[in-house]
Amino acid sequence: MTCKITHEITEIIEIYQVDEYFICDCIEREWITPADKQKKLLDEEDIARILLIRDLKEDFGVNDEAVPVILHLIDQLNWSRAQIKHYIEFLEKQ
Amino acid sequence: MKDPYEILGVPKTATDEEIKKAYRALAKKYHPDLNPDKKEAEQIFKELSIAYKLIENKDAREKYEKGIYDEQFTGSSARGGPFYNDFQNGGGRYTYQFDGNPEDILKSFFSGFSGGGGMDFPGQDHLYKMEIDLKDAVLGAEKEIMLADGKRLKVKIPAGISNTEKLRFKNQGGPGAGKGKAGDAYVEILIKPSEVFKINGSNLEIEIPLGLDEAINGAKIKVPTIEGTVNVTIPPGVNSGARLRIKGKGIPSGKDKTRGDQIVIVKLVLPDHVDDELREFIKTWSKKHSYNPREI
Repeated sequence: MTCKITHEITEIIEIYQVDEYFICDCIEREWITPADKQKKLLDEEDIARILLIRDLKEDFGVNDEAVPVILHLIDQLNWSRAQIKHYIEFLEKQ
Repeated sequence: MKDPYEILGVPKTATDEEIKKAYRALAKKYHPDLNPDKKEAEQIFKELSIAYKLIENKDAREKYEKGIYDEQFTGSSARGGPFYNDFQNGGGRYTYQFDGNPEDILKSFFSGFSGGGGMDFPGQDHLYKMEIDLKDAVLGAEKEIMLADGKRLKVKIPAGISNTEKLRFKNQGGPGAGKGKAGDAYVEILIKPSEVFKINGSNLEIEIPLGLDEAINGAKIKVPTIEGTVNVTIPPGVNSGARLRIKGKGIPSGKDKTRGDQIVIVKLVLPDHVDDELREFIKTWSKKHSYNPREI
């Protein structure tokens, strides 16, 4: 029985070598909404999103203005895919 | 180690800018979040990130040419960590937060069905994860969770809940389309491993160190339980590894939620420093009472 879904920011900095300022900036700009807002604990999904933002900025040269647009489009795409999958599963059960 | 110039498709005379341009083009092509169905993309992307780190600027290229980098460097410069797409298959927290209209999807994709966008579909079920302490799992607790729509949901955790058990909250999931009902929200409970207790079925086990005197002469000691400290009588002559039972301090289980027991596992601990007095005493005692514990 081992599980760990939440990480403190200091842990993330150490494990993934992400700058503390960068994580705080992501939270302040609301690109990330921590799994536990009060304690600033991040779950694996938050970490994956932070790393995606880092990839966008560092590897793809995306600027700060474009980041929320891209994240919004990704969320929209994932939402649409999840909805379609759900509808197809529902129709298959009928 | 593969040639980083070859991986990035650039000549050895390439400038920083040309290397960056080549890397960005390939990174876009192979980023796992842009290639959700291609398993090999993650490996290629990691190779690209190592290759780029090796030759991204003049300093790095010089070190690479001199063979300064080792396997450890190449491993640590690979893009680690989870990829976002891994959490979005069928919906993640951020996907649930997206404020979309299910009717639009239906109109766009199911317009060929009879009734088209007028079909009724139930909303999507949403899955949330909640980490709790062992104490809350054993005794039960009331917690709160924030749903994707910002609403706070009270989660009553029943005593004796198991790890990965899911609690269902009717109609708290995604909105339905047409006359379809809202989906349900599920909260998956994840019990944090305890540093003190180990779960064994419905019993909780704890290891308690005992001094030489306590083990030989017996003692009354304080032992932590999930509900607080209790006094436990250690019988004289208890051996290391002996298991003492505290009834009814374990995990509730079964239909009637009868609680298991707490098992105290005794561990004999010698003093930090074995002095001459103790050594001589044991020597003298052993001469008269020799025994071989491996033959008992």
